[in-house]
Amino acid sequence: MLFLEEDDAGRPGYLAMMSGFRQSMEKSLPGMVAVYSENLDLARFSNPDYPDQISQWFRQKYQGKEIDVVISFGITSTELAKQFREEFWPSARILQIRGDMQEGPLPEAAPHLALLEVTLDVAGTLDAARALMPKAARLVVVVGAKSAYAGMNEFILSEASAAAERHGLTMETLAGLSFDETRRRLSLLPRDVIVLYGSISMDGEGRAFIPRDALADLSRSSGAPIFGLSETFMDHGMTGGAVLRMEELGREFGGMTAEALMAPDGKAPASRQSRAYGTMFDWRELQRFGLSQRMLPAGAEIRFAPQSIWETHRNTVLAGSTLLVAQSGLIIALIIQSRRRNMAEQKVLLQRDQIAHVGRVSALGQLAASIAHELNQPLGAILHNVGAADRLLQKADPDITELRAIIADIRADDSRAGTVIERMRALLTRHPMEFTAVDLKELLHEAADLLRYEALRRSVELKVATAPDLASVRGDRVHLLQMVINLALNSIDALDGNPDGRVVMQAHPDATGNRIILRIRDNAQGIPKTIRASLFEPFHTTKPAGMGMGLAICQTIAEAHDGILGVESSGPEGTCFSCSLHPAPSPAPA
Amino acid sequence: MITTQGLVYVVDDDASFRRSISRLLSTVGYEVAVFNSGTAFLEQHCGHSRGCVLADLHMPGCNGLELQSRLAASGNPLPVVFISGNGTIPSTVKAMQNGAVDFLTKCAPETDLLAAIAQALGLDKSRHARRRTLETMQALYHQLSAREREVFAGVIVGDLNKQIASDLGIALRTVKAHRTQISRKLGMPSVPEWIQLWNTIRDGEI
Repeated sequence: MLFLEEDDAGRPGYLAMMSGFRQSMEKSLPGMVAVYSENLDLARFSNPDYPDQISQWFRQKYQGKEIDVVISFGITSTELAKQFREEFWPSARILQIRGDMQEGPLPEAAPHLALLEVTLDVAGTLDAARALMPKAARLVVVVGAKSAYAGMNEFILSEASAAAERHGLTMETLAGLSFDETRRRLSLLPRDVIVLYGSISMDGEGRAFIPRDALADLSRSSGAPIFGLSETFMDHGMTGGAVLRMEELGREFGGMTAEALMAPDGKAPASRQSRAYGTMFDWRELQRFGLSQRMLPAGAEIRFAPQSIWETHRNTVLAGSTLLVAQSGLIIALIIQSRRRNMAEQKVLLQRDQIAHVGRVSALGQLAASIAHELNQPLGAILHNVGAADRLLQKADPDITELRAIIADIRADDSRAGTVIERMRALLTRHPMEFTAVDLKELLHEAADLLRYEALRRSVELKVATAPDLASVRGDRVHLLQMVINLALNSIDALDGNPDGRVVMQAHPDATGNRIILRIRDNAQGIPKTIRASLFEPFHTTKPAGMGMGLAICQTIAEAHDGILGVESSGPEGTCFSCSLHPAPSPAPA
Repeated sequence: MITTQGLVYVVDDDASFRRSISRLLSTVGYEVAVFNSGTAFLEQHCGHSRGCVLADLHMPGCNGLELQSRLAASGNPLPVVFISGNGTIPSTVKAMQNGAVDFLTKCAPETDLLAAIAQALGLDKSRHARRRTLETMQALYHQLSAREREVFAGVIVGDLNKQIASDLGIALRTVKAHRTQISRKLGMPSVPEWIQLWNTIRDGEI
């Protein structure tokens, strides 16, 4: 089959139409149809001899070729088709795509001829434009100097004129102007003017254009919305219109061609009216000119509206949402789990603090006598100083210097007693672990003060030995003190009855200098092998009044300080417990 | 020699307490000597020391109880008043069993403290007096010859002169002569005085 077409083959409308046609052919007669296509491009090649020359050239070209169906567009091509049929292909059927804008009489009805009648819906377009712009008073119709199809411009103008009259619009025509002038005119238009763009294939200066691209150019500078007649103008600056849908048109005559090829009697199919029209608008253009889509006629299609993500990427969105929901679920589950774990950890920490506190209270219970002793020393001194002062004052000439010395001593002893109570209070108060820089030397001396009486009572020598210039460690002071007291008390207990009992509390940097090792060393008999394994287990005790928590608590405290409470050695020569601690971070230079 | 009401040796490792107690005792009228450890005190202690000891029960090195026992072994066991920051029952009991005059806490009322000191010094005084008596008795007794002591022993257990003469294998008249000599040497004419002297010496030696 052969196409004879009168316009430029590169025209987008043509391409869309051919695409529809091929789709249709491929569907009904797959792989069985050879298609030849000739584009006469009459708009751009207007030499009067051109049709004749073309006809001659086609004769040579198609001589000997069997053609079953010729599809013609427009008058010139239909004429050619008729000539060739008579000369070469007597059995060929002719499908004529006939626009009613085309001049000339309807061809005579013949069995080999079928018409597909197509129109440009100028009236429908202007009706829709009017509906959109009820306040508009002017209609500007833009057409080129010459159209590929004879009569098309005239058709458009006359149809527009009729519509303008119907809608009470003043109509102006921009026909055959230079493209630049046309553009300038359009750019001067106010917003409430309806512009109808027919088509510009060639302007008044003879410049050829692809109508669609010409429209895009005009639209960019136009002050008013531009309405058009072809679907191909969509997305090229056309606001909208009742347009001819070229691809659908291609499908229509594709269907007719198939009918023709398959008809057993060699007859052409029945003539028909094309239904390839649609009313459509460009959302972006509507927005640009402030036109409300609510004013559009029913059934109008709006294109290029910013689609919701749902519309554009439904599946992606669905998949994404599902993933998101699943992920959120997972995150929530993890958060809940983490929170639970957190709560559990908090609970454990709280319990650790509580147990440590109970341990301290218990240790202080053991140290009650020691603490009472430590308090009674200064209190007794105060009491006797007061007694002495009292007596001094009863004398006729009291020794003021001595009285002053007494007052100074009372003050010092009061502060001493206050310190004992403060230390006791710190140990008795329940408090969460708080890491600060702890001076181990000072801490060991405090422990020694608290344990002093206990050691004296049991005839145990208690010593503190620290490296000179010992760095502070990072730790919780109260808990570390508790650990030291606990370990030292254990040692004192182990030394009961030993006349040469000795406990040394030491703090020295380790070999690397990165850690500070705290050691509590005694010279007792050592820990029996039988209980060594269960040494740190809670509720394990060898003492009649013991709770069995001491070492377990010490271990917990050591672990909280990122250290391990270990038994360095234990034997007849004594036992040494140790715990390594981190030096406190050096204070930032001021 | 002793112009005050008595000498109190204060032995305590706590400097502040030592100062306060010595101030108090000084104002009351006692002479006070302070030591920071039992060892320091014992180093200067001798058989002629008089007074009493006010010692902390718990001290590093030589503690109160040790001080007490070493003092007792010294031959001049000065009375001891223990004072402690906080005494436990076992140590208190032991201290009292070993003859401590009293056991006080450091916060004990002044009256209790002074009463204990007074009691201790009184005890020292009476012990000193007793020791003086014993020494006198011993000196008297040591004037007796071996034979006189044999006769003395017979008389105080209630033996008759005849029985003593028989036991010693000497004449009755000789026994009578020894008795006269003993009475003159001791300055004690009656037998009950002899018995009292003997008891004093015996108790003092036990």
